Amino acid sequence: MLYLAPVWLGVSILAFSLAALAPGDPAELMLLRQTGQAPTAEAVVQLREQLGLNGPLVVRYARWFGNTATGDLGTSYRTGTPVLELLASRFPYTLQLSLSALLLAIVIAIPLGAVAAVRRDSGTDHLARAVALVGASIPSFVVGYLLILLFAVTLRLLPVAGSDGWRSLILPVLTLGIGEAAALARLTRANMLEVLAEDYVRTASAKGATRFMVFVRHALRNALNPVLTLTGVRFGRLLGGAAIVETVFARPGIGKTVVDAIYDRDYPVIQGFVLFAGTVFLLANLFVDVSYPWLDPRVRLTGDVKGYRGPA
Amino acid sequence: MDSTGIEADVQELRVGALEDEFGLQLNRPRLGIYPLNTGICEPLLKLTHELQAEPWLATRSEYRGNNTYRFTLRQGVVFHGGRRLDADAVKFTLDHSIRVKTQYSFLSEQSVRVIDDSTVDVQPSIPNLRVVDQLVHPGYSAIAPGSDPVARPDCTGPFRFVEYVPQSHITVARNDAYWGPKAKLQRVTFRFFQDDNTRALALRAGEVDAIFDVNRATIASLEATPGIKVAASPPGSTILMYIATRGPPSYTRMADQRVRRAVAMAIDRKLLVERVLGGYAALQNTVNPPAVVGKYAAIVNAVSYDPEGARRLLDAAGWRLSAGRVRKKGAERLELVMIMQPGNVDRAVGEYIQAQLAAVGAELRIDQLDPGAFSTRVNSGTFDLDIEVPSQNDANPAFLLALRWYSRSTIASARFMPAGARFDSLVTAALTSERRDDAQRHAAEAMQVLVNDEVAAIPLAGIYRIYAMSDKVMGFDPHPSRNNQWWNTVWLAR
Repeated sequence: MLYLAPVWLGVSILAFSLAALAPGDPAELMLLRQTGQAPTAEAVVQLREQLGLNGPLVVRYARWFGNTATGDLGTSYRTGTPVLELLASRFPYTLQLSLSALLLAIVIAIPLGAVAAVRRDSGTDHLARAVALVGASIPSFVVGYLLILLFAVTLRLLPVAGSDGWRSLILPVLTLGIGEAAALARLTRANMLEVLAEDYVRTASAKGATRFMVFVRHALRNALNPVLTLTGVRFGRLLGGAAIVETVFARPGIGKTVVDAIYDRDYPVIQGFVLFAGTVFLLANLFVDVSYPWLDPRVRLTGDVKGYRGPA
Repeated sequence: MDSTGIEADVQELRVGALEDEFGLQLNRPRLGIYPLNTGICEPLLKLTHELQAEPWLATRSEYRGNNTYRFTLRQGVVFHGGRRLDADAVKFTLDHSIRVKTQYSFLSEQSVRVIDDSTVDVQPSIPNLRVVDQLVHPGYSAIAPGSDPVARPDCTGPFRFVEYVPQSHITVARNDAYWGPKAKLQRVTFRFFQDDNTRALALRAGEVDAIFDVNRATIASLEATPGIKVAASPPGSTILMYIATRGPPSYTRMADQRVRRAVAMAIDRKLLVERVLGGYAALQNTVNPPAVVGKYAAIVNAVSYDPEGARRLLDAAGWRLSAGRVRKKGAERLELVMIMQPGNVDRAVGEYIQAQLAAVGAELRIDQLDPGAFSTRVNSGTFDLDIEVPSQNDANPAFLLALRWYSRSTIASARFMPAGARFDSLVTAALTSERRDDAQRHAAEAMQVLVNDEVAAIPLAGIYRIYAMSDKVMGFDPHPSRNNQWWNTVWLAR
């Protein structure tokens, strides 16, 4: 947990400088948008002063960081809404989508990858690998359109888009989850193959453990550590990458909000989002770290799994 | 009623609209009025399908001299909240639009004067007799004094505001106390879909009954879908190429009129319309939809396709083709930069122009930019060519001319695109002509100077506004201006 503080500080510096060093003057852009006229130099300087854009970068960062520490992420240039309020109103939609997609991916990927590994080179394995390859190769928006065509247009079982109720969540979750499942399934299969070749798995079989017990208790559990690590990383990616799916399914999530903010050089929102997403990403990985002992009790005892080769 | 005289039991229409832009404070929208017009509010004058102004909340507009128009208000009009429409309400409306700078009509807070209960004088701050054509814009719709147009507008339209859920939908219901013919629909819900394909799929799935701005790539599949029909308005927008005739250093190649003309001659606009735009466009010589200048559209002749002539002109301008495929003048290559926004103009249009210019020895770099970067580049003049799709949302034939090229325009990009003294005097004449016919003629003459004499702009194609809807939707009349589309004549067949 000690690494969290310096990493978070790094994220905050990145969040601030990404926007502050980007080309273009937000004050000039704001005035152009507001009046439709070329702003005078005085007006630009005045607005920059109001927005706190004058002064050395370090001083501006310190001020922004100080405000951030008190929960004040600034106000959106575009909508006039406090950034924290904006993120808080949109984040639940993205969190709901990302978490559900991740859960779906895990539910699909682990059995698929594990069965493919156990039945290596069988028809099941080839099919599972083909499905995973296709799932990982097709862009999410294409998957989204195909799902809409099938389930909403042809079968009329689910709504095309929107954010009303659980039924409207199914297609976006499938869209986002399929790609994630493909990546996780491939990793699960590779890890399972590695673990199944280990001595301790053969030992467990030789000692008379049932095939199921060997498979679940000795092989799968050990194969899941890297999968869990990847899951934490993918969760952060899902939060940021949900924008396309949110646009296709007309969901008012955080990803779409940030894409719009980037288009409009709405720096407080961009900075706030990078910091916010970075924080969520760190917390997700912290959760993953503290979950390791559940999968492997020796982590809790030694704090290190290096050199661990299975039960004695 | 449909052709058999049968109406649906519940007259509720669901419309798939574009992205929700009501939440954007910077654009100072008015809820349900602009940019999406839901029919809850009305202007003093209304824009017809022929892009002319017709009396609406004002029954009469009369020029009184001294740059002043007098408007006489319709009697018996009441706002949804019960207040009567009077001159004070009109002053409140126009003053509000001036304060939030939603429009471009040279009005100031001193411009609007109440004469009596039903009479208002409007005097722009500079000579501008086209104000009567500009007031048709929904941004000037009458709002009740004291009401908040951003949150809950109180207006006079055939529908009244019911509900707005940001990023989801806005619902309006029939105004049973409407002064004119009552709307046939009981309710209309506009659902927001930012994605063009999703909007079309929502129609095919039956989740909405009609959709706005159909993507050209999906028209054919919608037309082939049983139960769906496609409707196109007359051209309301133009794919227009702006030219930096006086760009900053590094963007000076288009300062030479011969180079501009050669660029125009190199582009086969007919082929663009037929092949690249799939026929869902019109060949057009005017920079605005031709209807806005009426019969005078015929006097505007854009430069004709003539690649051989383009090559000769470039030779004459000193851009010679020796070795390689790109012309040079000394050590300088004929490299041009064109800016465009994806989502605004199809990239295929840019690539088509790139190929056509390459055929005459000019290299074109296409910079596809997001809106923020695009705005910065336009306003700093850092481009040679700029493709945009301006729409005509009022009846002013000189609207675009005065906004983008006129020397008195206050927008930043105008200083990089001057079109000369003759153009300026014609625009001034169009803005100050009392008779609309004269204004149309002057505007058309100014367009002729712009697109032919000076070649400071190239009109590439007129764009139809395309709607798609269920076969049950009846009485829909597609308007060339999306902001002026009305739904009160629509009904649903059973």
